Amino acid sequence: MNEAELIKKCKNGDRNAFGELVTMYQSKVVNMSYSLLSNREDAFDAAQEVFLRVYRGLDNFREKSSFSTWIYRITTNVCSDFLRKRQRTISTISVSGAYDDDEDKELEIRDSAPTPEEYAQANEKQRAVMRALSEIKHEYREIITLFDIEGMNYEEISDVLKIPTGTVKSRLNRARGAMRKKLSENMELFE
Amino acid sequence: MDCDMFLNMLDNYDNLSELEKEQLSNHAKECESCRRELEFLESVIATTKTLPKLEVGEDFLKDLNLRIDKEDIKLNRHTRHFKRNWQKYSAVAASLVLVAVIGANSDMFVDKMGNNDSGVIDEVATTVAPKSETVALPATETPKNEPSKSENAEKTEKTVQTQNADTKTEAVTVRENAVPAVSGNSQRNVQRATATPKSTAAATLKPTAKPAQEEMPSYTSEPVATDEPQNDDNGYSLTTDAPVGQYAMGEDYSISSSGTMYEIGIMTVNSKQYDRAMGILIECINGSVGDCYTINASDLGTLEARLTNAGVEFDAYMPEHDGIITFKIVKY
Repeated sequence: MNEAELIKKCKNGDRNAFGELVTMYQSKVVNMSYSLLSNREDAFDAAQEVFLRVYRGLDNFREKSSFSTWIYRITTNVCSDFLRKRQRTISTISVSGAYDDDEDKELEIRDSAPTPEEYAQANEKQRAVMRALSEIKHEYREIITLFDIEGMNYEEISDVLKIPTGTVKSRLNRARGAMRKKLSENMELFE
Repeated sequence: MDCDMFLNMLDNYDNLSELEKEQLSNHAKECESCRRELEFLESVIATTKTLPKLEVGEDFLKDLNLRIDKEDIKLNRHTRHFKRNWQKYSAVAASLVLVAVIGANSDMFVDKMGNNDSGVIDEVATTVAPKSETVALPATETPKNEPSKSENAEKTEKTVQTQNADTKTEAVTVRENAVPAVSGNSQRNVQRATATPKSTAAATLKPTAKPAQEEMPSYTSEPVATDEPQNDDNGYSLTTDAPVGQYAMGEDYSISSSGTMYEIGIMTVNSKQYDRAMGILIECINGSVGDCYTINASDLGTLEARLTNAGVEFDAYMPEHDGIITFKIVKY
């Protein structure tokens, strides 16, 4: 069954067809989220949210863009939401003033950087790039994710992010500059 | 090529032609510092392309299906709430239709009635009890954004009865000399109606949730009709063509002075969760018009999914068309 037929079945409420669609895209969505959020747990949570929105919003998918463009757009939006929530949590804590010594009330903020376990699975160069990616601006991380990691071209990125291709190009240039700056201390790793 | 030119080209690395890349490479062979820069950039890009990937196990789909099932059960509750109260919602919608139609034809009614102040529509407009005999059940198909035409009272009565016949509902009797209820004594205020619905409903009523299933859905559930207007359990259509706009009819409805008909959706939200709902709403809407919000039809699914995920109890009765949807929030 091709993708168009699967989508048609999903729109008619066929949960098995929806399951097949999820299986087709889950790795892409999880790993895109991982690259954007730099955290494994967040990546899986975000991916679940993406597919929930796909499930609820399939009736509104009018097929003006391709399905993959649509799902990747939802992924970037969900990840942006996650980051905004993360930012609000951090801001709330930073202005809360004196900390409560009571351990039960201690707030947990999920660390946005890759975990030691995740680092252990990567070599030194990869670890340096993952750390740099987690530290640059979100819009730069988006571009690097879509262009370098997902291998999309300018037009595809323009469709997903809903920005002109000229902006894609200039943003990519600035993203490269940002990565280079972050990694300049580890330049010898890359020789 | 000098080093400055080299570094400028390097900044535009992804857009370089093959010839330009060759020029870069040639300069790098002659200049140690530029060579390091080029190798550094190419190595970073190559490493980024080959970062370790996460494996996605079978649990991902299982967990997703559990979440969907859980939410479907919650949505079924909303659908049952709607179905229990459909008569109330239909009654309100019907009274809106009548008041709006009469309001749009008010000049003609003023002419016909002379000084007769007795208004049948008083009864209809202000009575929203589900079992009222004067309540008209709404029509099936609704032409969207059609301006209302002036009709005489007879035609109005016939139209209502024809529509009712089509939907196999009870006929409504609208007397020919009916006038809209007026807030003041002046007959000149005939365009202003003061019906105050006791409960809320959208101009177009259509449950956005899929039809309720009484048990946990299997993964081979029946196809759901998406394009046909949905009817309730008794086969009554749930769409109306009540015009809405600027004149206040009560706290939740309005009619435009031009009589132009368009639809405004209604979202009812549990008042205890109103703040939470508004926090999500503000991120999904694209603006507001008066006391209404506007949202892209394509973002409606996202809004509802986010509200559900946040545990907000709500019902949404939205027009079904592309483009911008206008709707109000009502707390219950």
